[in-house]
Amino acid sequence: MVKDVRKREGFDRLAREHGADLYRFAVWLCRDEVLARDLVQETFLRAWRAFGRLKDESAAKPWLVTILRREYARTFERKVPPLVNLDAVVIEDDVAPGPGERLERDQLRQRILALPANYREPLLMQVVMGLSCKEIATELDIKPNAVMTRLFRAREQLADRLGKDEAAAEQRLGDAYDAGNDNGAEERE
Amino acid sequence: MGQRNVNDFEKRLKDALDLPVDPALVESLLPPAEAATTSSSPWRGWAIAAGVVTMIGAGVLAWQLAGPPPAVEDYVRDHYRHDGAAVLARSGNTAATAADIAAVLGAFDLDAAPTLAGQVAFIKFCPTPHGRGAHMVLRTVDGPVTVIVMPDTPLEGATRLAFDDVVVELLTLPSGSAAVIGPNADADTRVARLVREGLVPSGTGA
Repeated sequence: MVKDVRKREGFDRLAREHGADLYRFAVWLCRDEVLARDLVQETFLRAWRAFGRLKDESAAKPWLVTILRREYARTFERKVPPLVNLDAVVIEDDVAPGPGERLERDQLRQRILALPANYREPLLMQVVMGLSCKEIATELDIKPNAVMTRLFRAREQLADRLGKDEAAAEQRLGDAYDAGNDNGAEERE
Repeated sequence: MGQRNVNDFEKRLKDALDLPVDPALVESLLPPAEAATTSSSPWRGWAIAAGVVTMIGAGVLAWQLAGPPPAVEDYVRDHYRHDGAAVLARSGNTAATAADIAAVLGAFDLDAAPTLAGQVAFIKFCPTPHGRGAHMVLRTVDGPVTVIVMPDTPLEGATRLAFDDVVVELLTLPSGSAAVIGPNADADTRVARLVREGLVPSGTGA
């Protein structure tokens, strides 16, 4: 009985430690807050049932990711939510960024959502879940070199698109400035 | 990209991916305390099997060590207290789509007849004493009523209970059982009839 209680305490500690990251990962993966909640809830339930098989707690993160991805494939493969604006489905930070930073962050989020899944998923595993290249390779059943290539290309695509977004924003700003100058010149004339 | 730009980009990437998460959310997603666990390894499985054989031989009650699942009444009360209100809140004014309903009930080889499906506001998987089931919110004239379908859980004890400010009617289904959790016994009875008639095996005309 005491052993069971300790086991449960150990599981709860682990779940609390990784729960927020797992939920973030789920939101980015399925792009739907309600589905993400169900996914994490089901993942925790399955993880608890199989908790005795986790011999090394340092492997808990990739283990939870494996369970969550399997559950996603199994349960939600028939329901692919549309691309959404993440700000519409997640609670907002207490400390809100300035308008410029917020615009940049929103653009980057939409760019991340638009990445091909084979680039987006390893990126999420690395940045959100903190998995190593080796762990990602095991998870995706590909070689570590292939993981590094995908991570590089994901960042390259994001940086490229962000650069274009920024250039377009500067262009719009320049056009507005020129239009303002033209109007001022006309008024002086 | 130069090193400074790389660092700047990594920070922006991390900030963009780092969605804020309410700490209470994670807490609400933990499995209920009564959720059963399973054996940890093949060796443990063999050990349990050997133990059971030995215990039968010795006349010891094996079920005591197997850890029986909780009584349905206890499960329903604990589960509803765990996330009943949260699920009701999430159901809002929405209506579950036919695909949502099929995705969950289909996992148990069940379908909802149109009379039932038309009232489902929200549906999700949920843990049950013997595995998993479906947690639904039905929109009724008496207000939202929760239905928990437990496909692998037989009904043995009481068929009615009440706790907090809800009344529960437990009903036996062709496969497993269900709990109807509503504001009063009359509302439960109406929904129980709807569930009995509307929850049908997959491919039988729903």
